[in-house]
Amino acid sequence: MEKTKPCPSTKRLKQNPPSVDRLSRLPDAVLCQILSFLPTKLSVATSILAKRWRFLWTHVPTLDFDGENHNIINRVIMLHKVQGLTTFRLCYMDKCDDYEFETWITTAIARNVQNLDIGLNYQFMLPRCLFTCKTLVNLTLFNCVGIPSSGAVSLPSLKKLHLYFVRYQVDEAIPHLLSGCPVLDELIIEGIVDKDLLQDGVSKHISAEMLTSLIEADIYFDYYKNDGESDDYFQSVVKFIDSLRNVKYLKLSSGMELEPGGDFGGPESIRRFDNLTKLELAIDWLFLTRFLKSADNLEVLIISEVDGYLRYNWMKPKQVPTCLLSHLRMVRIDQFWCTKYEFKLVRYLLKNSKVLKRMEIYSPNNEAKFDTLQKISLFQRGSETCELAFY
Amino acid sequence: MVTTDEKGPLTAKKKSVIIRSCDGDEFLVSESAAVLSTSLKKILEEKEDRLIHLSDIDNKTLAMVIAYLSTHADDGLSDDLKRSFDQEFVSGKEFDVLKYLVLATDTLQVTCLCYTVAKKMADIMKNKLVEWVRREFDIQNDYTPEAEAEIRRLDAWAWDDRQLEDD
Repeated sequence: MEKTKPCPSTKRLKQNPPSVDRLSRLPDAVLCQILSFLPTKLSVATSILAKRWRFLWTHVPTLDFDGENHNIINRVIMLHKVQGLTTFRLCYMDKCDDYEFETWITTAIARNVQNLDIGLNYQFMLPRCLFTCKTLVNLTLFNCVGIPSSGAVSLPSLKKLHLYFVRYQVDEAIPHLLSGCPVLDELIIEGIVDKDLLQDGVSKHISAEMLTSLIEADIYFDYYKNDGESDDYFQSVVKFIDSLRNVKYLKLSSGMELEPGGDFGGPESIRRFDNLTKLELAIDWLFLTRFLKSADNLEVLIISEVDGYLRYNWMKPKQVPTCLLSHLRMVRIDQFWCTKYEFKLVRYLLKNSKVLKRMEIYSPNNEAKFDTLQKISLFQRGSETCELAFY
Repeated sequence: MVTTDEKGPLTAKKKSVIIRSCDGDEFLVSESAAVLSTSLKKILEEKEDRLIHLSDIDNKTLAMVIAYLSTHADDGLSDDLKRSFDQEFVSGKEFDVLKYLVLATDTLQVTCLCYTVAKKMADIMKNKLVEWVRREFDIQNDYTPEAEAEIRRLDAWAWDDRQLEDD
């Protein structure tokens, strides 16, 4: 337990005479900045420190609720005085009346909130005014309902949109939402894109125009295997990926298994990814071949873990891809199981990458590590300055 | 003392500024680093003189702020490197040191550093006792026992677990 030392200020006075007076009165703005990094509960708890701190928390530009009950949330929001709310985070696990929830969100919007993060245990209807909020920059929704499929959507400042397990009535809702986000550069959608939606909804409704401002995308595709349907599903996935044509950073994950030599629609129709500089794949290696061909400016390639059989689809391109000749400088392979497919890939990349600076390989297979490293270090290298790191 | 980078006119010489702490020591700083502080930028726009005297900031603190400004003005460093510099910059520093830093960054209006330091201070404050916070911020408890009891009653939820408790 901490105890007060006798007269700690005397020592400080000697060390830093000029600012000790100022220090004992850090400006309110600075104190509020410090408190803004604390959960609201702790921020309120500082009111016990001294009279000056009694209502200091009401000027802190963030509200961060984590599990408080509705009476407490109501009290805090009513006392809180800040008009320019930077962050409103609400992690709410109880039930309450819809109008209460609606009031909280509406109040945050009226206070010009920039970052809104809502996570719920029970689904409440999001108020419509959320979707015309001019100040919103980051929006994260977890387990909410009420994304409108028609009517006004205008989020002119929104840059990051994260939707986790968000439900809506019709497939048009997400495309409609995206159409109102002109400067969006990061989109995460998790847990809602089911097969029917992807086939009939997203690929049809999210046209390329809607996603061209995206610069960072992290997409996980669920895995379905219904005979006769898998090819349609695959085609809709490809179409969707194609609509992300301006991304700079792309991460694709899926346990989806593709037919060997899966059809990307022929070489002519492969969409180019000229802006793509960093690619992370945890997906069938057929995609790897495809992206090497279409992302001429790729600099960083990360190959994350996928099920073993998804590696069988690595096919070396007929021509050495442009990115290997001029841009690819870093390759990381996260789970190297020492299969012949993996060796083939590493051999190909080392041989043909002319400007590669570093290749990192992480192998969980401890016993074979030394042999593997020896084997790989003998592979021919297209880039003299390439270093190989093996973990 | 400020003659180190006097070179011929053909060398692309970076302009420098001298900043004097309240202890009287002087620091030579490139102008590109100095202007990352909104306050210094304003001063430099207003006066010809390349000497700035900061009566509120001591040697030790000023040296730290200048190290930060110089790192962030270095175009040769990637954003990732700058971010990891920021993390190391605040890690392991005592609360007392951070207080002087946050005050200096507020005075000099170095928003990013102020943010980083404030966040670090908040992280340290979590799970600390009321007495600890009072001591570290030099706060005199001026509540009457009755007033303090009332606050505790009104917002009892704020102290219902171990955070910011009394000992």
